[in-house]
Amino acid sequence: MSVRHRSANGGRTRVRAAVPVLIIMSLASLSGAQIAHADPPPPAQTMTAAQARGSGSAVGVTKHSEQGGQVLELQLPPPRISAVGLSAGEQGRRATARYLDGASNGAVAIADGIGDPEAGLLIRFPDGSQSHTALAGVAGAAFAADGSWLAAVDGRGRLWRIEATTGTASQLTSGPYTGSISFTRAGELLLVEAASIEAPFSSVVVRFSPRSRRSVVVDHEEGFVFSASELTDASVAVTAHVFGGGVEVRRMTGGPSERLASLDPRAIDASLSDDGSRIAYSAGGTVYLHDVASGSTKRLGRGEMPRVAHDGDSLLVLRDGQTALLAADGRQLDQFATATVGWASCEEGCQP
Amino acid sequence: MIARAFIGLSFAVAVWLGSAGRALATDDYTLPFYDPAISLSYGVDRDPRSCYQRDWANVLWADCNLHYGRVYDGHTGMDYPMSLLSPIASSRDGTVIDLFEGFGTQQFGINGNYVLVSHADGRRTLYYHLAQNGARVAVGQTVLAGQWIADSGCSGQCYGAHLHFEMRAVVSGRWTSVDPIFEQRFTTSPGRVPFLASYLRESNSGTEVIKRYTTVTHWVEFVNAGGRTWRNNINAGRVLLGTWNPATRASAFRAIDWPSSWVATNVDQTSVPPGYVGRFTFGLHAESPPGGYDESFNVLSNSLRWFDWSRLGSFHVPITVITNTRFDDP
Repeated sequence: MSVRHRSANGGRTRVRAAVPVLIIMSLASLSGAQIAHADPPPPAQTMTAAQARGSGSAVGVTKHSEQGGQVLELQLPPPRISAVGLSAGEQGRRATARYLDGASNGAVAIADGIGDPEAGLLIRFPDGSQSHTALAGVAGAAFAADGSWLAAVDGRGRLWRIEATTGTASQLTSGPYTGSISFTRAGELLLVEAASIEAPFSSVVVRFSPRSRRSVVVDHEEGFVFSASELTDASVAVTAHVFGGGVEVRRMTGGPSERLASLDPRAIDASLSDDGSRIAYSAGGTVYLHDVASGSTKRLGRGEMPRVAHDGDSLLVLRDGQTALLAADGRQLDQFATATVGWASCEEGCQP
Repeated sequence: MIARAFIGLSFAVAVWLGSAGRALATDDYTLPFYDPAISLSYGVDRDPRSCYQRDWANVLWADCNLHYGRVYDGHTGMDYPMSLLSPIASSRDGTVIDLFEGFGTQQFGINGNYVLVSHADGRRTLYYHLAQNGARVAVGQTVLAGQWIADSGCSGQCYGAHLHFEMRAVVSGRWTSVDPIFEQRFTTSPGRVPFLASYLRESNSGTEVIKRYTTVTHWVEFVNAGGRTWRNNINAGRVLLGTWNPATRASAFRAIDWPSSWVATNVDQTSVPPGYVGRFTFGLHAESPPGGYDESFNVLSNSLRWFDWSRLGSFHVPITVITNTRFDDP
């Protein structure tokens, strides 16, 4: 087995081993959300649309008007990582790239490799120009409201500020954060902080101010937090495996949290509509849609990684390396040939 | 036989040499798997600073590089590469207090599957990157040291199947990762698997010649090379000698003292701590026609796990049944 890792001088080396070798992204500091050691910024480069085409690294973006909003379908260069021995579903998950976020100006943030410690952050602009930041193992990114910069978490759990037009990175904190990242309307970041980036079984939701670079814990309940996001009423929805129990979605408005839903104890990849009224998730390779008001859960069939539309009436689902658009009743509305498909930001139109 | 004797002698010497360093060890945790061939790829980083790494031997690296076999920067546990779906054992008696098993067995991402066990000394052990539905226990369940609790996987931030084993303790009022190797919580560095035996000797290392319709007594001794005490008087964790090749086969040489058709005996002693010798005494009764036979046996921990047969010197008893002129036709 051969794997790449970065040597001390930043160059690439090849390591061969007779036994299974694992390369694990390492942690930064365990001392909380402070920079214990300011790591050098990762290199960045920009390309015009013509340069991107010439180098074979151009990312194509096709917009589709669908029920629930604009769907962005990304056409990407060939895979960089081997998918030998992986199931079709896992190959789809590890497709060359992953859509991370879309900006109000039409820019798209992409992780250019899942499961590849050398992968980085790619920003593709509407005119076809691109910037690339060698942010190893990027796990999550979110555009600021004006689209001028984005916050990104790398594979070591560090939080970076990336200037959108240049890809230039500067470290905000060392975390470690687990990759769930979103902006609130007040311009703060919601992040999930863990003690360990390799085994983040216990984590908390924090609200981080990019201006003051300080964070406060939003939710003190002990658990294994998967994600946190702000809802339209400014409350915060947290999806977490509750310590010793199952998976819950809770809503916090400042006081004690309110349970929105109890999901399947094996639920993963939960995705909420903007108002939190609908929750899609997968469990054991099956996708479900939970309606909070009625408390009912509908089984939508085979699939993984559901991403519910802003209004909650439709969802994108990964199936065998492709993406299906499903209605809330499970009917298939459309089919896309790639796994790299996502919803455009609501500013671009939540309804077609 | 000579080979078996050599293995036994070698191990006895090794046990004697190893006992010198064991005085400092607490012996209260074992490695969380059964295969003694599995070795550590990365241990705990005991330096909290980014890009400073201190391993269990107090070696310090002022860099961010991976140091295979020792440590990587910021690592909170111990990584043990192993095949997918390998058995994972509890490293000490305890109670399962949390688990999650919803991620795919090889699903890459930040989050993965795990089992968390609480122990009587106030510590917790974490078993991470497990297979989907890979927990073999439930929350609230009591588990024993060496009990098969989960199957390994590669869920979460994982680039090759392995177990991330983490010991956690309250330090300065806060749960934090500690290094069991540095603390000598294990018998030796890098520790012992819970159940392992090494052949030492037997009552007759040649062929047992048994007159048909009669019984001979045979005994075999194995060194307890694992990290868990062998017992013979409690159900869970009791260590037995059973038939092998194939396992649990009804033996044609079962004597009246056998507990069942395939269990020759429990270990003779009430308690055999790690490093001590356990003896298994059992009868071999010949009903079979005169001729040559071979009976294979292996050790197992009751309800838990068969031992590694190859480590027993591939223990078997050659048997020759001879005519009993009192009952057989000449």
